[in-house]
Amino acid sequence: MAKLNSVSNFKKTFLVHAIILAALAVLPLFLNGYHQKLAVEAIILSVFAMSLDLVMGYAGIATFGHAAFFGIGGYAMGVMLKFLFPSIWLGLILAGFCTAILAFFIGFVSIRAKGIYFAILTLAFAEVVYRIIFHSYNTPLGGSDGLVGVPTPMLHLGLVDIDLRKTVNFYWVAVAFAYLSYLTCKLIVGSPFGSILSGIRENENRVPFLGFNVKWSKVTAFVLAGIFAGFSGAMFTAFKTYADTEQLNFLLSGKVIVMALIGGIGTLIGPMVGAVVITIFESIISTYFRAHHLIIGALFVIVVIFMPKGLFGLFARKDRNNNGS
Amino acid sequence: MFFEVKELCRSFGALQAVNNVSFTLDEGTTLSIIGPNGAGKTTLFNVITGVFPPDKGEVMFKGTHVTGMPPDKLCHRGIARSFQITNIFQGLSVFENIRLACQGRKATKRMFSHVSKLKEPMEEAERILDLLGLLDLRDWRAGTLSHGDQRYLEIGMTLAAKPSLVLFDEPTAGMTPMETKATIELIHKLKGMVTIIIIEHDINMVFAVSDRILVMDQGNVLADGLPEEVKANEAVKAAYFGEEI
Repeated sequence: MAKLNSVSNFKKTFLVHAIILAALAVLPLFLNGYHQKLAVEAIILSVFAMSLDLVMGYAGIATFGHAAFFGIGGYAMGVMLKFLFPSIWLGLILAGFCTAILAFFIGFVSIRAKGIYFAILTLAFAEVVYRIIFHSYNTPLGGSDGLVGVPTPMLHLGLVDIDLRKTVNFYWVAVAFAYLSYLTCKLIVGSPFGSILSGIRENENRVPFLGFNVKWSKVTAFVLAGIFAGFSGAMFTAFKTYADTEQLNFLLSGKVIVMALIGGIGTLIGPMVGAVVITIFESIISTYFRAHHLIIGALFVIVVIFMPKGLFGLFARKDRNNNGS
Repeated sequence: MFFEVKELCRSFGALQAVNNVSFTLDEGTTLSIIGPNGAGKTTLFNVITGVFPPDKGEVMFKGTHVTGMPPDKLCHRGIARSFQITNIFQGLSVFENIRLACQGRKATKRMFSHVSKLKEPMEEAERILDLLGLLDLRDWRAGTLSHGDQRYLEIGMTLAAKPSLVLFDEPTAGMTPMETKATIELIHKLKGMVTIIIIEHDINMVFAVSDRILVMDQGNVLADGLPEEVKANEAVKAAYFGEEI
């Protein structure tokens, strides 16, 4: 009976995924050029928000410096494409490598601190990274001007080459990138390692008495989150054809927290939805109001007070109520 | 010797919480540690299980030094403990609490399998829930259980590590008489399978389960012996019970 249920659940999940992917695949056919670009940005940022969920939602570690990984991933891709080799794949590998090293360093040094102290340390490290890049005028990184003129190469996929200069092509690649990232993160949170992270979130002090090394588990989660943030930053640079210090800025670190919380942390999909909602919402209201951040701030406050589990949590609660429990 | 504590000391400022405590334990025996509040019983557990390093002294387990060893390493060596104040994962289900505890025993090579595919921890968790009588509550969120059931869960998480030495810190704290009785039965089931050190205030329970009793007072060992010897000890009566046991 349990096996039958699991087969039926698998079929249901497969169907839901297939429908969402099909809907996403045909979506750009109904969008104009500007909205296609907006959709690509939203999808790439959704991976960034999801990466934060690995540490914040699953391991319960608040971090205020997540943009450092997004930015470094972006610069790594920029350097690869502009100065080293015109390959998206190599750019992603370099981004993953650089962010893993940076996340390991920040995580290893800061992990002894807990709660808000850890969060402040990550903010401080991110600010150091930001300042170093900001003042690197005489380097290929371009200082506060950013790394501009990053070429967009063809994406080699076996026998097929995809021209990423066409927005619609980049859109489909971004959807595939986000979906694969989601599946990988889903695999991580559902794994034995993922359940250790849930244990750390729930009661960090109990976990060592069950035979787990809390410090290394937290550092590993931080590194994995950093790598996915780096991948999303790399894709962002490949799409925008530049990397600039705004990608490293603490404002972006704050914005990704807002995205994750509005979507609903601890769900992976919630922060992705949050990123898409905020990106689109920001684009719409910024046309009408100059102080659009004020409105997003108010929205954030409303969500935190009335929907502490975010938009996704609201749907989950409705579903639970419908089941009568 | 299976387990040995030698001249263990730990102070906090001017307070000597544990002072020159020594005892040995044979495999399969049950030792109860009793004493008034502030006697240093829980601090002794904390020093043995690596929460605080000792100022002086040694802890030997199966012939090797485990003094000051961190809790995760002690768990792999076969030493597990429960806590005086319920220390569970409130937001996880009852089953997840036990399964996570089973999972920690040894590192899995299947780090990327879904956790539900790990046959051994899944089966072991079912077995422990059955032993504790919590199988019907397996999908309940641990934080919603009654106090007594949370205490059982705490005991179950400690046993899930398949330890050879278990340290129970007041397992019946806050339990109803019926629940305490069930816990005594559970400890009787465990006797012989594992070596047990138990801190307990319920004297009926202490005499029901103990092979030996160690009495502490103000950080010192006041008496150590068979239950009848401790019962007859005048110093123990004066310092701890104040009346006939």
